[in-house]
Amino acid sequence: MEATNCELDSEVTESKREGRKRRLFRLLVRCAFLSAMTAALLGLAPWPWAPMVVPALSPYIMVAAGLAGPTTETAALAGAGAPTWMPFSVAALVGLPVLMLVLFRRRWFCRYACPVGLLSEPFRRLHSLSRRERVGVRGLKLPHLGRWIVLATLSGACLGYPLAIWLDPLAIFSGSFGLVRNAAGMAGWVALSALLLILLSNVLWPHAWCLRVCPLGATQELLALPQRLLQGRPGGTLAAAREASPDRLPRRSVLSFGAGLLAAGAGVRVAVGPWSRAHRAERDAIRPPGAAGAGQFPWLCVRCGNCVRSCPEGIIHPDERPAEPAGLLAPMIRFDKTYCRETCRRCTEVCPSGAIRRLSLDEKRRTPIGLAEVDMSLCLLAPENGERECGVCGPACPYAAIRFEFDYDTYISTPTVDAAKCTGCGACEIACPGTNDAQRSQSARPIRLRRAVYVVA
Amino acid sequence: MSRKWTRRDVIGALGASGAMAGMGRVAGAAGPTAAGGSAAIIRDGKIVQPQRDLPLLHETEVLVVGAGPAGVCAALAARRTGAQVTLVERYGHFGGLWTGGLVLIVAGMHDNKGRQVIQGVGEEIMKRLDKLDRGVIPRRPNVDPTIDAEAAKYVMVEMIEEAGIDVVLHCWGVDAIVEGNTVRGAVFESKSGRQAILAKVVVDASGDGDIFAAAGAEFNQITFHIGLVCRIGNLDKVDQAKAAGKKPRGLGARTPIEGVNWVNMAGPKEQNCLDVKTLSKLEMSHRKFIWNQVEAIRKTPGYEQVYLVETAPQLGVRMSRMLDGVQKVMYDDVMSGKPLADVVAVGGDWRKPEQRIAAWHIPYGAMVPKRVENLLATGRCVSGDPRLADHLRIIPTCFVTGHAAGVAAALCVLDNCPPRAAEVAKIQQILRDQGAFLG
Repeated sequence: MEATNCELDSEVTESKREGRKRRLFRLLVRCAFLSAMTAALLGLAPWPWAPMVVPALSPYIMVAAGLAGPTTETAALAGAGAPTWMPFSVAALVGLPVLMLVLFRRRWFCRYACPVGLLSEPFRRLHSLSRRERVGVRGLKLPHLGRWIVLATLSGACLGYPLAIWLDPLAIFSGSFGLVRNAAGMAGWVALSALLLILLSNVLWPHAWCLRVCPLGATQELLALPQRLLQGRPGGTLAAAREASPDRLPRRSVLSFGAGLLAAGAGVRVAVGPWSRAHRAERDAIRPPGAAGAGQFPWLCVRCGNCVRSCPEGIIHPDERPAEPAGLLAPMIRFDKTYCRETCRRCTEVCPSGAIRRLSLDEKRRTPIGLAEVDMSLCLLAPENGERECGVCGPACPYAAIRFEFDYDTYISTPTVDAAKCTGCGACEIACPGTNDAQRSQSARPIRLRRAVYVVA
Repeated sequence: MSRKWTRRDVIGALGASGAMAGMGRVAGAAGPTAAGGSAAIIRDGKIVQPQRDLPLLHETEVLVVGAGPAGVCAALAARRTGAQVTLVERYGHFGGLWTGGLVLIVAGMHDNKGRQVIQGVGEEIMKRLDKLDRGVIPRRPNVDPTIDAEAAKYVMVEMIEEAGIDVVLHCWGVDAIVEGNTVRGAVFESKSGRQAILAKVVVDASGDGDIFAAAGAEFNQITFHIGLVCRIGNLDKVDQAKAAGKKPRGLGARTPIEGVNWVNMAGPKEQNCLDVKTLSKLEMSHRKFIWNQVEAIRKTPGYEQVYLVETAPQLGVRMSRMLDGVQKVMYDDVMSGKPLADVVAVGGDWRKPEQRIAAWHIPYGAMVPKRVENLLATGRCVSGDPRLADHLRIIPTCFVTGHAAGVAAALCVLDNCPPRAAEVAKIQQILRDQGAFLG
């Protein structure tokens, strides 16, 4: 036990041993990373894909999403463009250098790049300033939660459902920027609270998150395992581990792998099983263009908030009332005052995990996110609604998907949607003046505001 | 009989053949016809109109083609600004679709703040109607008014005669007179034949842009729905007890005349409004539908006394050509109420007060063709995004674009400058002096 702990805590002791110059250099690099990441997430960088880089740096996200990516759902969607084995090509390229470095220098990310680690430093100082006896990690006996989280997630990822990919510190860091632009509301607060929780935990138990809970850190450990085995470092080989505690590492690995599979199975059931259908909301959530299949999307999404912030129209919102628990805070589209512009594809450029596939503008225009439907009971062209001279939905459609069928016997025009041309962009929905507003105000129970023309997922 | 030809015989034969030759010339293709050479002829399988000179009916300073709401306001404004004005109209009445088409309602006079943004010459017409008994439903703030067509026709006759505008009715503008890119006047057809009117500046208020199209200006034509409005009467004689709350379809809305309603019809969409076959087919189809709809009303319990007063003399052609002008009224600008420096007309919104957009601006350049000189477009055919058709074609917008075009045309005559180079600030000043609201 001592040997294993010593191995894992070597980073802590190494920090204590390093010289002043080295420490200053490391501090500068960490500050540089923090500033660069902050700037990228605030949208200050000139490249539209800049925010994507921040969570994509995480080897945890990269491995989990990489394993989950090439499943049937994503593969089916990868019609034109990206090859199925790399549904998030640019993101993978970003994570790759980090991955390579990890293989050589385990935990370099934590020491040099992680913003959560840097932000934790002042809180660790608070701990050491207090008069209480230092409760180091060694004394805490906190189990290696991070390792189990990673194994469970990666097992689930093999089935296409990376279970806790959203626990990544870079995703949480990213998500807390939701309060800055496009006001992500609840999602921003949740992420910020999680971040603060992590930072504050350092006051009581410094390094607890970093060494025991953080899945990104645990991923690095996992990736370094082959290296340790190959190099035969003392205290790092299987033999030494078995010596220290005969059945500790292998049994735990097997157990967590099994637990991961079970959890993945349960997760799949929850996501796509009949149970969730019974509790489904009035309409399925409309997802951004290029999104993975309905069942898989909420699991692939890391809740980083990049797509929410990137949308120039502000129509992407974290789902606060999802049909199923797995969809909580996953991005969904709601057309309030504006629609998914035919000239934009920003959200497809910033997803780090491939939950939203990268699309060219041409592909985006050919990728439906929903289908418009017409409810004649609300349409102003119907005699019961006044037979008004409406027709705004037709010219509003950027894809010319709405025509009007005129019946020469009844003299009624009916807006008709051409499903082959309709992408569900919502231009017709926001143009439509026919609403059930009157019914809504008179109804005893809450009715969702509807228009005569509306988009369904 | 073969006797020798006498002198008499020779003279007679010569005379007969001469007469026959003469008759042949009269009856043959070459040479003057019974119609005096002006009728169309068929030559080599083609129907040809022989070239001829056109008589000059009139020479004027500002020629306004079309006397709908835009044309009437343009003519009045141009006259008031100080130019000599001739107003030509294809029907026999003023007001175009507003009166002849029984549109009646001036929908879109107010903005989202409840202000009446339609002022100027258009509001003067409304004020005159206020004074007449049953000229307009008594006006209330923030409510779009409905007029009586006959009262409005009368009021406009009075105003135009008072202003001293030369009028030619029953006269259809069919062509432009051009010198290169410059319009010099227009050609008209009437019972008096094909005639020309020359002018210093021509204002195309034809609604369909017939003159700017003929002059070669750039435009685009959109399809639109065509309906036919009617009026029904005796709605004050409906037996409400018998009806027991059941209302038949097509009762329409009130007019200033007690018991008389006007009934709108949207009609089939995406129609080519310049195709005469479409217009003919729809005219007849609509007439049948209206008759049958009124019959259905009369069969509804309580509504037996209701009758069809009239169908509109003008078919409800709502939009066809839109000028592609120096400037365009832009969709996003209108929706956001963006103020424009070159504004010469401000429009409102016909929707419910809580749904209305803010007052929106029309720039002077939307009336000016890109290449054609001496011509201004006004009314529904000004240059704009097709999605704004429902904003540009409504009566109150035609009031204000007409007012602006009239002032601009007269100013160009007085300052002897082409419409393209008119000083917008001057136009704006004169408009304000004439009571227009420019934001």
